[in-house]
Amino acid sequence: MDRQPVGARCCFASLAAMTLVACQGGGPRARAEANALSRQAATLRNLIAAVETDQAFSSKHVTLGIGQELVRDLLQLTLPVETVTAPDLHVRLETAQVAFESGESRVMLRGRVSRASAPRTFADLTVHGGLHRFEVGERAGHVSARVALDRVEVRQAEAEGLRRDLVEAVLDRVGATTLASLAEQIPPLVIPVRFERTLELGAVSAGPFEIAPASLRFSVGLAQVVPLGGRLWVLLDVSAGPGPRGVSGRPKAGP
Amino acid sequence: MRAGLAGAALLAGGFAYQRFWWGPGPEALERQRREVQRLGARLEQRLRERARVHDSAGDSVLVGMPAAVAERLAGEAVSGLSSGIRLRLRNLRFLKADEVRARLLLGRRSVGRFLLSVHVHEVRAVLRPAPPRLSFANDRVGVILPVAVEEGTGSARLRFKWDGLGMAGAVCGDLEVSHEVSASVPRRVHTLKGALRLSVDGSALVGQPEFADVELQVPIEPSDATWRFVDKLIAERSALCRAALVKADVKQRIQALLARGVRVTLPRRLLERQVRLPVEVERSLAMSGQRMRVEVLPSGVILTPAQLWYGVRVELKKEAPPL
Repeated sequence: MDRQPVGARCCFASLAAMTLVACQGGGPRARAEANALSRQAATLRNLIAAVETDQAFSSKHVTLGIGQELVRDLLQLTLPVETVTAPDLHVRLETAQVAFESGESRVMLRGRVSRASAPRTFADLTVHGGLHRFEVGERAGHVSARVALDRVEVRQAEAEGLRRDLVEAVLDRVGATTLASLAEQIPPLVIPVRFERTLELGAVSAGPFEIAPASLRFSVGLAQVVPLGGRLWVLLDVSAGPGPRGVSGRPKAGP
Repeated sequence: MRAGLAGAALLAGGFAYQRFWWGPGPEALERQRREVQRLGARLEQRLRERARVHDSAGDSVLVGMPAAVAERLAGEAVSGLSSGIRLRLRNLRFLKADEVRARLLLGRRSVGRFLLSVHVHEVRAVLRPAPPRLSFANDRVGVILPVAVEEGTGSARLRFKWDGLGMAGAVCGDLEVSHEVSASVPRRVHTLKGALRLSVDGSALVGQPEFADVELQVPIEPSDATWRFVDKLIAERSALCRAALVKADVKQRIQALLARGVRVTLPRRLLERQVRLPVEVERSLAMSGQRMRVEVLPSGVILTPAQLWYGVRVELKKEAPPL
């Protein structure tokens, strides 16, 4: 008889503690942000250590610093993108924001989700993601990247009144497949900076001196990409060697 | 008892839920955000200390080239140009005439006159640049470029004329011989000093070489066959004549004549080819079926001893469709 109130008190205390915990914030969004911040902090610590030991941003690399506004403008050119996801949700993304801070590239695409069957019922949404799959094109020598989308946030439901069911449907159904489909529609972002792969040098002669035509070939490889301070810092390994006519010093015979 | 256990389990579950699933509260999140900001600022500070990043708010694209990379690339480029600078000299004439005096019984007297002429038909050599040393300052990249003259070969006609005087004349008589000889150019390293003046050409950074005309001394070294010919020429004479010719020291005179070599000028226009940094901003691009014009506004070049920075502002403009 005496113990019952103690147990009940414990249960009550536990529930109160959980309620208190719940009131302190948290939730899936906080958890996701905390995980992202932990990853960011780890990345930054590794980068600082690498910079201090000349392993990153070293004097061995050519550096490109691409402003986030330029990348935003390039991304904006690829919009709008849209897709219809089951059963009748129509997602259309129209505007882009890009931020390169603290070792993270963040892409935010804003748009709207509506019922395909009732287009006037819609909700504004933001899709979050980042840049990945950076590469330097073998032939054209451009730096390019793909957009990856990984999270949806419904900002507000509008029109014809707030439709709670629509918000829930979006959060339920606009999943990884839909995001992948939207990201696939965004073509690779090509930074309009080109690395010449070959350099042709014509013949020159002056007096008794003569320089034969020659060519140089530059090889460019991606060493590291670091989003920081509003720029995407792309570090490149560049080396030069004889081109097709560098060895003999004479042009190769045509076919 | 059961209720107590249930309560404890609930408490533990609540703690685990909060710790591992529910996520942190606003204060904890704020602490994490501040930590990330602090680390980001520290990283940027480290990079600025090492001149690895550059502040240029208005520039859409920055290109940074460390001096060490520029020097390595220049060295690799020079090694890649394996054919070097070819030098071809033709129809060169060297002439040396002198009187040979020797101590004879009646004092020091002239024993003869000689005329030594070398007609070089052709000399070919290659000027092979070694990796340059670069230095960054103001708007120029200083260049020190060692150039080795090597692989030199040539052919020449050697003519030796001896007019003997007095006793030497009586025993040697006049002598005139000529002989085709081959020659080589001994390796010699010259150092060219100049600079690349940097400027912006459209969307590319270019370096305009600034070198003065360079005087090169190209010595010629007769082959061993030449010396054998001279030795044979002397050996075939009588003892007195040999003594006179030895006095004339023909070998040394040929050597001295050719060792001075040929003075040639490496004209500056040979080195005045503009050097383009192999990275530039595209002037147009196609994206999602749209053709865009890329307007490029170069904002300048900054050189520090360790790094070259080149910045451009980029604006994307829709290209008008063709009429």
